[in-house]
Amino acid sequence: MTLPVSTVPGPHDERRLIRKARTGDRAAFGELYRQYASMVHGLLLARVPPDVADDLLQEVFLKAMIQLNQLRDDDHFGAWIAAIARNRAVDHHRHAREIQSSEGLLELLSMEPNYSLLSEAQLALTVIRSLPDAYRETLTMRLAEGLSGPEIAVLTGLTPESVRVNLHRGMKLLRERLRQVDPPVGKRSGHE
Amino acid sequence: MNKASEDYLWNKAGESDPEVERLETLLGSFRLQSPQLMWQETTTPTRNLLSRAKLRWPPILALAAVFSVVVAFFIRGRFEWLPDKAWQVSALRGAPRLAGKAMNVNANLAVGQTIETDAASRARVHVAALGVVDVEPDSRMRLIATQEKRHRMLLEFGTISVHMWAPPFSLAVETPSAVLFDLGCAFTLHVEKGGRGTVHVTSGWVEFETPSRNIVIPAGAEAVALPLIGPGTPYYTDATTAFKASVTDFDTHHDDEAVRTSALRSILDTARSRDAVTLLTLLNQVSPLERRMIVDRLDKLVPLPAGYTRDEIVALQTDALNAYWQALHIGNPKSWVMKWKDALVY
Repeated sequence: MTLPVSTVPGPHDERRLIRKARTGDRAAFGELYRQYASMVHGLLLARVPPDVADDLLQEVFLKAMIQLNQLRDDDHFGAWIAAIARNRAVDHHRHAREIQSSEGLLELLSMEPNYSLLSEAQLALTVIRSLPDAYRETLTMRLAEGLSGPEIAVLTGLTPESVRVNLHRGMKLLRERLRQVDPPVGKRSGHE
Repeated sequence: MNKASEDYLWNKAGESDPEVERLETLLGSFRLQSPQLMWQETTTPTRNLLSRAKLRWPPILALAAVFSVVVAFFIRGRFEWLPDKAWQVSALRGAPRLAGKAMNVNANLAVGQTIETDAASRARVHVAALGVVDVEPDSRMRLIATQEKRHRMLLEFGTISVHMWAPPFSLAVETPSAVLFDLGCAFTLHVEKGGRGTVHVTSGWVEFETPSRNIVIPAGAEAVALPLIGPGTPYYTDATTAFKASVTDFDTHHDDEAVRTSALRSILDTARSRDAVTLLTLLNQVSPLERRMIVDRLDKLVPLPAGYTRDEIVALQTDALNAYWQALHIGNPKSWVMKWKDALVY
């Protein structure tokens, strides 16, 4: 689902929705969810497997609903909920045995991932997740969630210039890494 | 990338880029489906749905609305807590001592104060509005800090039985050998005067950690923490005596390679499928060579998760390890909400 830019909240609409949601208006919070869910889901996809992202998405919004009174700047709802999502993804990894011994981490870094058993879609997502944070987040929002650059800028609170640079540099890096994968995307069995 | 394809990447305008289009198609399979619907399934209906359904289901909608309000107030009332607000404490039996003095049947435990029981007394402490801690006989516990979502106490010695229904990490219990974090659960923690701590989890999950090691313990399992060593490897309490003894040997003989190696072999030989929890935890504690031995045994007890390889597990690849934990079908800490029955015991 691609959100037309016109449906992305303007500052006034967003402040109004947040005020109403704080008073317990569930429909207002539901509207915030509708507007921000794709952005948050994309951000989670950049960090956790797709099935986990679906679960964490609900948890992130539930937490946001409970903690909405702690949002200090109503103009920064997107950045605030994005921070909740990033923290939740970190928690997920941490408590799902993410913490590794330095020996294990070094070993992991020196290993070539075994890509041969991944589907082409999984492979593409895995490679994206190997990119720096700023690139992988904008790329999952753009390529997986179907948000446009201007939409990503409005929803995340980043400047359009930053998003454009992240998309451009991230895509360049992604192309390079996908070509290094054996067999490369587009040449795998069942495709092309 | 030329200007036209850059524009396509930016706002889907201009000349399309085949590689970007292909990635959109591939990754689109992971796209969030109907976000509005997902939220409605887990919360209340939106106004539009309400108005439409109102014509057909007024009693159900009225009940749903009341239920939602009740749940919202319940959640608010349960999780909000003023910083340093005292906890309620009551004597369940005998004469517990609060801050060194005999306490009334009902009293308040302030930050910095201790509650102490003798051989004939027990006390119940309310952890904000999130759960209860029953302080068993011959125990001493101190409230260290309390504020919304972060409550911390110290069990100097003795036994506490804890029932919590709260998001993970709401409650921390310090002991002389490790810090325990509640992940939404019920558990019993015993600390000997020498500092040795044992946690037995009866519902949900618990995390036991020091700066150098952390472990998670599922319901039905327990773990021992030793001063200067920290938390040991968790094991199910219904494991064989030989298995549990081998785990203890492995955890306590880090400096004796022969004993440690022998213990690991015994662990692998005597492990049941259910003991995969122990083996998965051990992966972080052993050399790559030993890890391969463990993964070989794990694969026989619980087959490797689909889509992941032995090498990925040996390399402690995060997704692979996560998948293996999920393959054990013992739930995970994030499902604390489903343990709502724990909230009904107090």
